[in-house]
Amino acid sequence: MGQLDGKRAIVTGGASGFGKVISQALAREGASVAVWDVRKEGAEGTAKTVEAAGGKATGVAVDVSDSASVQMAMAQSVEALGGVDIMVNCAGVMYRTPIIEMPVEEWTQVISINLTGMFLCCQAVSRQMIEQGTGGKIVNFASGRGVTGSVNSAHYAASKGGVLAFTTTLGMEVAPHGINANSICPGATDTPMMRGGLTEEQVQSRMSSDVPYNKRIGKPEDIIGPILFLVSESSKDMYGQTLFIKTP
Amino acid sequence: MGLLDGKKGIVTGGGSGLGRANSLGLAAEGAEIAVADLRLETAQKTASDIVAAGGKAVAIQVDVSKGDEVQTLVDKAAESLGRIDLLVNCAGILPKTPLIDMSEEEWRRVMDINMTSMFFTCRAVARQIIAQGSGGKMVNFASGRGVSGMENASHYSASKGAIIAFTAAIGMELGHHGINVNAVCPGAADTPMMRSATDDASVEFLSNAPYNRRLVKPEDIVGSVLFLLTDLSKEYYGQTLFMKAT
Repeated sequence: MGQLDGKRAIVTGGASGFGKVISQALAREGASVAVWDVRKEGAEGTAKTVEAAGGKATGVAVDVSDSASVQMAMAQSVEALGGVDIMVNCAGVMYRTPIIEMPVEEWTQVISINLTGMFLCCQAVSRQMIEQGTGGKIVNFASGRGVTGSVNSAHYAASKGGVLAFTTTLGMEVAPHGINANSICPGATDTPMMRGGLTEEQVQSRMSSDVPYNKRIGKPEDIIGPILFLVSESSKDMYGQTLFIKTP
Repeated sequence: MGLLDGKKGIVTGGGSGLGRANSLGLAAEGAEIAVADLRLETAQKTASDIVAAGGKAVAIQVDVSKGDEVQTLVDKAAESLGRIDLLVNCAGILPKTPLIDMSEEEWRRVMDINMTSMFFTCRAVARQIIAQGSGGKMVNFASGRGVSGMENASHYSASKGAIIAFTAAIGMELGHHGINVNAVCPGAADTPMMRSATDDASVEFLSNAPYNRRLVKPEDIVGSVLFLLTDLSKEYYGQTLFMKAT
């Protein structure tokens, strides 16, 4: 008996990092999961691990920054799952580039995937949930960097600050439909994204210095508890709030 | 099978409002509760309601603003329950007085009851949990007013802002001992304290929030507290969970 038995969930960015462990965790709790990722084989790979563990999942290829692609992926997922009750938006990119060297193409790409992608996915799933009349749960991955800024990742910081403000608004707008939309800021976590652009030495240095009280940098699995809270009845009176796992 | 089977907890301010709802909610999940309140008869009512529902509870009178009384509370609770795993600090007051009319005495009273009380309870329970070698969980009730301020309640606002900072600091300190300490800001809920501090027009306004169109009930807060008291929040140290926008 899982706490999400019978629920139907979509997880974006499900090929790796947070999206992968969340896909697996929701499935373990009984949800059937559509694993979205721009890398089709990555999405299918996660879905296979879910099925190998006795869960239900399907991999869906999608470019979250493309409206038509999102709509197609939503239609495909609704058909496969029979509807949608939960959406966890993890898809995102981060690059390390100083502002003065940043090409506008890189800026635009990060904003398109991290922020516009969030808008497109939330809009599509809200329409679906409202049509179903079932209510639902939406969790968007923001970041403490959206509040504190992030040296050499101005586009990432701006996109995540945008996600915070967008989700606050979304939370109030979709609440009358019985949908709880909230965001989560996980803090530094050992994912492929965090490691990107860092040497192993830099990664190790962060692991030992970032978190004095538990002596380790976060693992992707650490996010599961807070996510289960935000997709369960326990958070039924939270609308558009931001849950910080670490002090930003 | 409850989420808190076998756990032993103290809830301050357990005689009414959020403290009462949390006492009942934690007990319903299997925890044994020491219900602490300044007004013993209200604590006894909560405890007897828990027992009537099939749970286990004891009532203990305490003035949380007094360090020696808090120590006695923790000693009694540990003796009665056998150990302490959980602490939920709900005790607090909200008098309404403009700054220019506020007496030093009233300022100090609010600080002592709302803020210094958390220093006493968290310190005493931390010592107890560390002596047990068991780890544990603490939840301090702060308020969005500690960030946004509240007209005619500068002492209350200041005390709640202090709780957020205090919790952030001890969250890190006690994390070393396997204790998760976090704060929750519940937003306005329909409690005696809220009613006493809110005029009818504002209650009407709160009852018609555009997103949920109802006044939040004390029992609606319990889910967030359960999150902070279970393994779901095991990597959560010194954070503040806002249930409503400030």
